Amino acid sequence: MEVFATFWDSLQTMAATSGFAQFFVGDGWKYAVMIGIACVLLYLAIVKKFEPLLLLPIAFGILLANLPLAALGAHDEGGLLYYLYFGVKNVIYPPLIFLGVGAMTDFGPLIANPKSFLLGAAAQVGIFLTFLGALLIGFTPAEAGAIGIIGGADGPTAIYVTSKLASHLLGPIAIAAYSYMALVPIIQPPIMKLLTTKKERMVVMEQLRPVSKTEKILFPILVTLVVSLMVPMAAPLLGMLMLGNLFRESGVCQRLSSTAQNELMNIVTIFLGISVGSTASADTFLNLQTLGIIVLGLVAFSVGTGCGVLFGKIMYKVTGGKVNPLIGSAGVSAVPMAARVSQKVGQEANPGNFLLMHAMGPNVAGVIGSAVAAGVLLSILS
Amino acid sequence: MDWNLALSVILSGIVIVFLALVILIAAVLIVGKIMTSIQGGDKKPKAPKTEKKAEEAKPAASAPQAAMKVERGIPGEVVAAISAAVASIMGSSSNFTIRSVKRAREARPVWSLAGMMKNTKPF
Repeated sequence: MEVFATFWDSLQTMAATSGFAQFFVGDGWKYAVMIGIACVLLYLAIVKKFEPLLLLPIAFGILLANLPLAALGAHDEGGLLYYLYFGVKNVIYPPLIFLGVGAMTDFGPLIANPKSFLLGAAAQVGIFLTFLGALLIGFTPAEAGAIGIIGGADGPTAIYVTSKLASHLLGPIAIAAYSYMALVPIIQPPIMKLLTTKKERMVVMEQLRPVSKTEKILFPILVTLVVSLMVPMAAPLLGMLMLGNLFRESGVCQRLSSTAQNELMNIVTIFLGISVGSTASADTFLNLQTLGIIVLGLVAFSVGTGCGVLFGKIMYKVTGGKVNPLIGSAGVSAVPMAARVSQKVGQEANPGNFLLMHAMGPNVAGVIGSAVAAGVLLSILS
Repeated sequence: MDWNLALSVILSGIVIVFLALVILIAAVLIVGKIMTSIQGGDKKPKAPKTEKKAEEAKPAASAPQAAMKVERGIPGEVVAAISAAVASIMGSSSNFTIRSVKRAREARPVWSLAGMMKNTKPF
């Protein structure tokens, strides 16, 4: 009988020290809620295919970080994710992602129509207006800057700025930024239709001029010099973006270009996704601040889209109806999703209209614009 | 809330972003101009000559009739092929005059449109 008693005792001890028991101790229920959130995000990534390459590792990172007693959070010293998180903490991953983005991006449409830069700049206004909104709600200036950058619709830039300005908000900001990027096709069209008339949406734009190889090679060098000398804080992001692009356009670094676009990009995406997810532990995520960030992120995104479209309308008037204002909404980065949305909404108004390449100009200009905006925020607020 | 800080961040942020991108517009435009002038230096003198030749050749070919209006950029060979096609359908004995040759103003040929639709399908 004593054997059974000992056996029963050890079973009880095992049960009491297991992860399951922790759900019922103190604030343990929060872990269960976070695991539930992780499962919802996994569902969105796998079934709904919302940015799965990013959302899936982020969601699984949240799941791992909220396993009671597993000590897998980004801040649990000695754990696997603690070390992977070094790349986020020391802002190494976002510029590496930009290297891959640069190697994948064709700046041709922007070079062919440099006025698109203005639309890329206009869409960044949302960042600064949301900064004001966040200050009004009671966030500190550094936190407000990190929240505002969600409006740039650029995941790596948001992570870069948040790591430097308000690393304790990294989880909610990264999740808000990537969720809204995935939701671009749902968020943007109503704003675009609200701010434009059918006549404006029907405008067919002139074909873009062909761009020579020399121009494409000179472009990354030019942008790096101009922007990095003006806003040195933007240099790590823009420098890597343009290096990747030079790999692509030079035509002499095929292997490097291919590695930056594929292997390196994939490796860094895995590390970045899982370590960002692991910052979302129950105690830092489940509070009113997170709710505020998610609402402000949506405001930032919508204001950015609206400002882009409104600036597009100004260009429509100034050019005598040659610019379709719908390409303005692509000024928020979210490459190439935002440009695809312009194409889709344009085609709804006029089935023979092809705005995709015209919208790619402001779209890639938005990447440069949000990196500049990030540099400005960092130099003033850090 | 520190309004001074807030307004200075907003103002300087928007101004610097626009300024940086306006400078980039100027830089890209200047490089574009230089490139076209370098390339144009080689090509421009040649291009108008060939067009002129084509224009000169056409009135010579149809000298007795009124001058045919041919849209710029349509080569003589195409005009000849169109004339031959019209002649073959109308019959060489029937009287007809081709007064002008213009490009069709339809947006795109059907196959080109189909390819474009496939490549730009958003979602």
